[in-house]
Amino acid sequence: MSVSVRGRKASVSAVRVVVSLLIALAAIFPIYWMLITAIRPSSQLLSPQLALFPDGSATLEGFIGLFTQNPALTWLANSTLITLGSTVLSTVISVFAGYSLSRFGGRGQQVMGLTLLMSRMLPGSLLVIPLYVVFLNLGLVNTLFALVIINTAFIVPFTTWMLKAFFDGIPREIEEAAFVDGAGLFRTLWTIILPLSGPGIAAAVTYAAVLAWADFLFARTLLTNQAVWPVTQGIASFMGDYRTAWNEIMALGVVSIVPMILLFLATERFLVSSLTAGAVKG
Amino acid sequence: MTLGRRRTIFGYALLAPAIVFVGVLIAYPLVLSLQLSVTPGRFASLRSSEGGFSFEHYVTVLGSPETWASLLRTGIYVAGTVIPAFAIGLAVALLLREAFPGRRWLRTAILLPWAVPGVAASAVFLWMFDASFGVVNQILFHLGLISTPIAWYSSADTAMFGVIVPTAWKLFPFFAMILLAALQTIPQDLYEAARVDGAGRYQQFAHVTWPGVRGAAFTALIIASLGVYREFDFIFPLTRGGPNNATTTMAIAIYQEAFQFSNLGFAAALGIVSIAIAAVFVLIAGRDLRKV
Amino acid sequence: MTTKGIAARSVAIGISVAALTTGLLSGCSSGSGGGDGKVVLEFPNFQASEAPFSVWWEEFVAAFEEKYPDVTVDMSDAQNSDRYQETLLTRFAAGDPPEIVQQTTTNFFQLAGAGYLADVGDLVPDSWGPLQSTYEWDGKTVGVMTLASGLVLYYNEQLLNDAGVDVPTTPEELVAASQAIYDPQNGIYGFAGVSAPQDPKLYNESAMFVVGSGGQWFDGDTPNFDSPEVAKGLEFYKEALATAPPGLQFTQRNELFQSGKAGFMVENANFMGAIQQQAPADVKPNLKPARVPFPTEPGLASVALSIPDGLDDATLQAARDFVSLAVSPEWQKRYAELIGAPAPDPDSTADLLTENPYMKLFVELQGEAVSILPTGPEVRKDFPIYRKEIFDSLVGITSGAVSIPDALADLQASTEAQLGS
Repeated sequence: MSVSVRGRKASVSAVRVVVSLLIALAAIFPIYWMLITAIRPSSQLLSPQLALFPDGSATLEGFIGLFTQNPALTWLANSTLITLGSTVLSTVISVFAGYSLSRFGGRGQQVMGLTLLMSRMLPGSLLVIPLYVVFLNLGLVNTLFALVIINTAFIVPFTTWMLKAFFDGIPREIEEAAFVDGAGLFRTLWTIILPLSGPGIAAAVTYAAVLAWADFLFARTLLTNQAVWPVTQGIASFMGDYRTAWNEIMALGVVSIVPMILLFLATERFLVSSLTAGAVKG
Repeated sequence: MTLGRRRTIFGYALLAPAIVFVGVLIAYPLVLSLQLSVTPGRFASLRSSEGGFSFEHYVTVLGSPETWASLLRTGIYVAGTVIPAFAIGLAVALLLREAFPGRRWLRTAILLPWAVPGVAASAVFLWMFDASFGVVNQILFHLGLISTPIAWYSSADTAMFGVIVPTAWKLFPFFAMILLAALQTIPQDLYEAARVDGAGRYQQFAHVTWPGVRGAAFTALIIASLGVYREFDFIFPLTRGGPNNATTTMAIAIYQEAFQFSNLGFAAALGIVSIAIAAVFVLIAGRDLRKV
Repeated sequence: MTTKGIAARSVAIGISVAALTTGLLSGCSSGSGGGDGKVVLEFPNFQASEAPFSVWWEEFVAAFEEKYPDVTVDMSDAQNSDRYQETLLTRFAAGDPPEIVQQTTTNFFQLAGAGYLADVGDLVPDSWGPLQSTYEWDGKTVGVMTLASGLVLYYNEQLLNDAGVDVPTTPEELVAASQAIYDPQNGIYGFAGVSAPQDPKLYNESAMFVVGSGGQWFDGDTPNFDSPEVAKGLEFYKEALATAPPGLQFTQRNELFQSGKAGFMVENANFMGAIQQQAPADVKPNLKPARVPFPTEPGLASVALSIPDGLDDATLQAARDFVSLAVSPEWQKRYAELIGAPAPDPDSTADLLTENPYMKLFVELQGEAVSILPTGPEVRKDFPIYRKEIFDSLVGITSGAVSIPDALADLQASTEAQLGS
């Protein structure tokens, strides 16, 4: 390779890094700002002075106030339970459904496609009263289980689509080989396909977790009792009070992101590769 | 039972939980909304005894200029959010396609906005765009770009922008993710072949890259557009649909009619109309989607 | 393994079928009430964690349960916000309302309009003042007020002294004083008025200027926007708001004033209690209440208790007992004592006038208060709609986008069209 081409490659690479860095900074800035506001003393918040970086007066009073004067720990626990439940249930259901659509195709595909679209087209406000009625009759209002069910219902269409695409990328020959060896349908799924499905399942799990963790619509519809509130309702409740404690809201915001960051660090490489493995070309 | 028959049953059995689960919880609200939308009266209710059947709400919805104004605003909101988010997502995907030092961290960083709960994001943008104490105004002032603070959310000119920015911020990682995955399925030899044929960077993009991601791009665009179309919990804490209806999209209008004006029948009709419009959009724009 | 798979599938299918069937049977609603013969009164309370109200409620509920051992009160902490309104409406629409309904007046108009509330007229003592009539609907009284106050001008004595101005007694003086104090470079503002879109306090604040000047948005069911009093009031409003930070929300307003960064704000008498609780020690002594500097004293009843229609006899009786006890003189006195402002009962403050230096002022203001809320039945039915239109106009006026005469002409025209007058 000539020097000039090598040089050009290097500069293109450098440009790549710089631009990516700038975009990443823009993406992170609001999160950074959440952190900054959370550690700023409340007396300094309502000032027109620009203060991009924390100074010596940084304090943890926002976080402390958050946990001592509010049931933030309860909210976090509720969010965790709801998210775990929804993730497990929706992943199980959509693994089955995605596999079915991938291998057995047919009319089911159109029905699922339709429900995927419908779940995206229904305005949230129209869901509130009917869902309340349904869960009222199930006796599940103000329970975390209700949230698990309803979150699952709205996650499944998308994760099914994701998993179907993923399973499409696994050659059928693998199952054929198993059938030839005499394995049953379910056994094949369980022992052969599933172990290969790591990336796909990781992607579905991540998607489900992000959605369930962030849900606010269903929580505010079905959970009126503070004791079962998830973090999202906790955050929203700070915004309507007589006194908005910005540093506490931001502290709660920061706290609410940490589990998601951890989840992301663990699974993000799967997100991309699993979509790759599938026929994302569409 | 033949193997074929058993396989079909197995197939349906696997699919059944998903369909029943989803079907019930999505179909029931739709049915109830339809019922409310044809129940006449200012304070229409579900109490069956006071039924009645009338299309009066649909007539009002379709005949009211406010409805079409909301639809227009919704269009602006969706286009204003999805197009920039798509462009940035595509740029990001192209940037991250090649490996370079630190790529993994940057990729995680860029995906983070998607992981932030919407409520938290609304809160921080409300604070950042605060007219008197928000950092955006402070930075603009510092850079000498403005001399008086911009009241982002209380001025009709800037409110829509102030609502589009957070939504696009949260949306672009979604596109980045999907487009990056699609890019990685394009075989490298196609690029080699194009280069051998003397294709420049732009032509490579137009003839190799774009056809490779087009399908995924359209699917993502439709799904994202539908999501933004019905977005409510993000806008409402920021502007409540104001000022002076500047950010009242269909989703907000439906909420207002239902929960602020107690006009349940009208709200339901507006909702059904909104779904119908979304369906038309999907049909027109989504022929590629059927291939999925 | 196949068995496990079948088991898992069956569970999933089972849940779905259960959801399906019960969904289909949703005609039947579940009844309320405890299973052990005790009556349960569910009471979402948006004052439950707000001192000093929370103190009164806790004492009251404990005393009520002691007096009526067969009744349990399930008081939970609600948030007074759009979400609360939404929740109330959802529950009523689904046939599952709480037994004791606490509401702001805007909620009240919606619930009363939909016919959800029971008649409680016989529970209201005759001595109560005219603001109680806010809660009449269709000839019946369907709400009992728990918070009724004349509006109060709060001022920061320190800032007034620094700017060399006296406590204003006329609208012109208020505007002049606000302008004198206004020093945005140093983060000091004159009149802390809200201007965030759709902020509920927009109504109260603008109404102070309008009603204070002798105007009203509506005269019965006739729109009154083109009257000279309304226009004059809004002129003052606009000038005062020019000394406020743009885009201010009401929570920020409170924070701003309590931290000593604003000269004036307008709120009801109970806010004095909030100042006592929340303002920092170095600012608190400077924050004082004064009479609103307008010829007419504006006020409103802002919170009420109601009982939903359609309760069974035992529950209805328990709910009525609850309301009855709350309006009794003993508890009204305790309210005034704890809150530091007059309770709805005009006799509630008889013993407190010397203890609390501001009580006399508050009592006077409450007695003179002219309601800022509309009285015409058609207007009240659609009040949230008109209120929103007023809000939109106000934002246009304060930002300078629309002139006052134009805004008022628009409002007059559109409301006349809607009311068919």
